[in-house]
Amino acid sequence: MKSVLRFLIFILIVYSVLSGLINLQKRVPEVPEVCEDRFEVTNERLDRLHQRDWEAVSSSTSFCATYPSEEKISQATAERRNKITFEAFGYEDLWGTVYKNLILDSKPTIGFLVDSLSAIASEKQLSRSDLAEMIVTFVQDIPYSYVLNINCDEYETGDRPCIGNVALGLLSPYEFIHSLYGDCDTRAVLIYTLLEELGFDPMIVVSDEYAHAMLALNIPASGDHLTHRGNNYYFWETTAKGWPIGMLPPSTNNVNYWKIALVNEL
Amino acid sequence: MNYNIAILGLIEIFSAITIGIFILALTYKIVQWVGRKYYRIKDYNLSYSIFTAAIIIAVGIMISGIVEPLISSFRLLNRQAESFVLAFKYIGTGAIYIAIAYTATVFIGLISTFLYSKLTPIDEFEEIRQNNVGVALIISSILITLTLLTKNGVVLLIEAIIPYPQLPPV
Repeated sequence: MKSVLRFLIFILIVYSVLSGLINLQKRVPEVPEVCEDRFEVTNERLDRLHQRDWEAVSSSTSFCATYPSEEKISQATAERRNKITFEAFGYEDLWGTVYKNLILDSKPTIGFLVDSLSAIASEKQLSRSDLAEMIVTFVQDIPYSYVLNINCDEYETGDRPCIGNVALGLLSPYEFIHSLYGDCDTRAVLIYTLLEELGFDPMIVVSDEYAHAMLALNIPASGDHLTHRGNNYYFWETTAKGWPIGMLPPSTNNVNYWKIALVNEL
Repeated sequence: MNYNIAILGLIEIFSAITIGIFILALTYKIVQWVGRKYYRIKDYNLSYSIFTAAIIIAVGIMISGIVEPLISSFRLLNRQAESFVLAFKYIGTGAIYIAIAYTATVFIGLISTFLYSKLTPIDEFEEIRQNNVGVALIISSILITLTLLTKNGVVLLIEAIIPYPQLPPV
């Protein structure tokens, strides 16, 4: 009887301390904004007005963003993407060169999105970590689509949306935010561009073994990471909602299979 | 200082200490009880102390594997619930992980003693009772080695029940 009582007191103390610690981390839940995921074609040139509604992964903070996109700019970036030429000597080197060219070409076209997301961050008084999370979750919230360099009929895509015959099987950041079609590296490239513009230190990692690409970010965090030049870059899965920083999915969790494709060396 | 990471660190330290104290105290009591009831080992001799230490180390090795999956579960559950519900869920999840790891260790302990008893003609516990240090060392080594070999598999088993978000087939 005495042992049972002692055990119950032990559990009660553990429960109280844990609740207290968790409470320190919790934020006051906000009243969610009236917002929904949608886009409308605004004219005969097929320009669009997008509205995105998404939630952070480590808290219940919700965000709402509205941005326009032009078909003409999307097509122009697609043409430039198709003309990307590169010389590379390995898997990660090849993709790193492609991503770098794409990012350099895309920066002038997505400045408006950087400004729009920065404005939301200022309004909500987000910390740097929260700002990074807002940007990654903005992309995670967009449903995954296949982007293939072959015809979609030639690939087992299931019920997922697919866009085929795209050179390199990769869309530029502007094409992605305009069409909302994005696979793993298309997402990683967009997030890298946005984060770099906001002064973060991101990295794109690729894995030949897993046939996958992912973002990694040098910010204070915990969990799975790569160390590069003394800095820890924490993995961040971007193809689905709910993945926090530093958590590799069990199917792709061998860190040795991940290689650095692109990192800002400055 | 990053406030969220500091809290997460405190939760991890607190969890590890709590699990450690609970599990090691429980193991010690169980070993003591089994030794007394089934093998009539009343006074602690060196052999039995070595054997007890090996069991505690084996349990420690196995249980150390659950801390990371437990923190992953916490991070995934964190957004969903209020503090008091989350603490309850966290303790519940921890209890399930501990149960899996503990069962695995007990199973390995039984296998190792069974293995040794089949390999030798002697009665191991009688030898331990009579303070045969050599026998205790060998059984302890088998126990620890088997634990080290199976730890990754048990952690993988626990990883399988972490409520990870769905991923598209990339």
